[in-house]
Amino acid sequence: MRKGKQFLENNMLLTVICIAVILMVFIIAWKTSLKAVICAVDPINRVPRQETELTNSSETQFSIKECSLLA
Amino acid sequence: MSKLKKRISKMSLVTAVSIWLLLVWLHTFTYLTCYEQHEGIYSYLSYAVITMAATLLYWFCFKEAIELSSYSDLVDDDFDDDLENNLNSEIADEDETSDDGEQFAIVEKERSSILHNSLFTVLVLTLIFLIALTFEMWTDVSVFTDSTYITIGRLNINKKNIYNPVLVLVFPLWTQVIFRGMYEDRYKWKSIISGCIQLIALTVMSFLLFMKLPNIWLIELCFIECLTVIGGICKYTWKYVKEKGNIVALAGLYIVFWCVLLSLFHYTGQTRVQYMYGDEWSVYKENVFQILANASDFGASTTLAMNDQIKEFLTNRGNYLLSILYYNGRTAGIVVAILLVLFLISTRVLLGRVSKHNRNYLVYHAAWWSLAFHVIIGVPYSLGLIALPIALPFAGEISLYMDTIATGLLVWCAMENTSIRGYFYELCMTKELFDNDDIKGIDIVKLKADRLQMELYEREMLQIVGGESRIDCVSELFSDFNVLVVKPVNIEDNCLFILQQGEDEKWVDVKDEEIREKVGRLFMEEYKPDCMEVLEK
Repeated sequence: MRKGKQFLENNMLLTVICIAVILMVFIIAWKTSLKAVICAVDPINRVPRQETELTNSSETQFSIKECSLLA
Repeated sequence: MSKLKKRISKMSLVTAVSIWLLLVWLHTFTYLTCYEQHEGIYSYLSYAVITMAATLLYWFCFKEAIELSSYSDLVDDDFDDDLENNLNSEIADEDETSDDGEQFAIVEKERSSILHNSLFTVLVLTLIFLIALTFEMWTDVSVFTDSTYITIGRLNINKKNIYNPVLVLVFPLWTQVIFRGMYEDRYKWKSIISGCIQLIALTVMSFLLFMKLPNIWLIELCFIECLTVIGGICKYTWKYVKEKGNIVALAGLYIVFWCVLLSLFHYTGQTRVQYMYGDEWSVYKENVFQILANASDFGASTTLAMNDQIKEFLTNRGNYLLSILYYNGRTAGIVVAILLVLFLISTRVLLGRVSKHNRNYLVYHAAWWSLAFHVIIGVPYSLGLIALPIALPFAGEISLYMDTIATGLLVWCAMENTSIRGYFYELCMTKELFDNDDIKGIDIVKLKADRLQMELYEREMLQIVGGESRIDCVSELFSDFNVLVVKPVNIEDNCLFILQQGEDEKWVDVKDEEIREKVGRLFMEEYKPDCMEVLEK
């Protein structure tokens, strides 16, 4: 534990880069997994969204094109 | 053994945090698929992470504040002084003895003042609550009569937002002060009566505040508050009072008092299910049984997808167990249930047995029970088995924040447990350290103090030499007993060596068990972590 702490203190830049990479991977995995699962199913709330909001391309609205690419 | 415990503790921390993230993922998935209106793909994650960070930060600041301002700290310090005075009493003259007497009287007065101040505050607050309740109908202030908001002028506070902080922070912290006060007052009748009145008054206040919420909120309030009081009894009372029957009777009376409060909202002809859930339990049960019966083993079921009634039932419902059953089948549902059980177990390990020595044990105890209640009742409710509408952990809009706060507190508890575990030293012999029975004595070499380590230990740095082995240690001299206490650094086990100088200037282990234990206890008392509370019989 103490050796680990010492290593982290001596290699601060490496630690920061590693944390940033892990965070990025986590964020990408979060979005990809959610999109993949949602596109694989037929969400209950999809019908009203298709009727009203498909043209509105906000971050949370998955277009049919996006889903077909992920599926 | 200690290595194994540390590994289990680390593993449970990683498991709890990972499952927390997975459950937030499920929350996001449910909101994105079942709700007509929802926020972005990262919103719930960012809310949860911010809540967790804020909990750790605020609890750190708040905890420091209450530890600094706590009366009991003052009393504990005086206890330590008393202990030292007792040790030196053999050489003390008569004048000093009379000073000790005066000091003891001051300590006694301070002990009583904890309960007196707490009683005064609780009674004043109860009076304000009762007056506010009486005059509420004639003013535009609504604190108790509105089912959702506390309205004072332009200020609107959602009662559901303050429910968990009251349940997990305010009530346990105050209960802790009451029990600590009774303990420090050595359970005199006066202090017991004062403590009981305060507990009843606190309960009545929390009841008045949330009485207009649906009955299930009151049932949860009753459950957690009763468990908090029982936790307080187990920690502060059970071992220290001989009349155990009286403790059981008082605890029983408290539970009966809660039952009376709960019965106030029961009307004639109302069934138990109607009281807990409302009128539409059969509709809920029917829909859940349809989902369970028609869900496929893997993936979405076409039968369910064609069923408009089920779609309508799941719309705007934050229950991720049901939505997973609907979208991903029974296997995924079982995986989620296992995840919840694992979450419960890992958070229990975070709480750990050692947390009973924590100054804020009741807060962590209440936080865990609040999460446990959501799993133990939430899963059977989700499956339509019991009519207690409790949301699964992190499932509801508010429970995402509130359960994250509880998890954050348990994470903090796990960190404090590590330092408390480090406090329990084991008295060892030097031959165990060097694995060599032939060593007759050891040499001690003074090292130039390393700055960082000196800040950490504030003691002398030494190296002990036995045969060809050299081990870095920190030491403390107990001149009253003419012994040196040595603690090796860079060694996982919490070994403590009690040494005295032999005739040939070599250092040897002290053989007298009485001195070893006394010095060991003094050393430990001196260096106990701030978060720790030592109760003496």
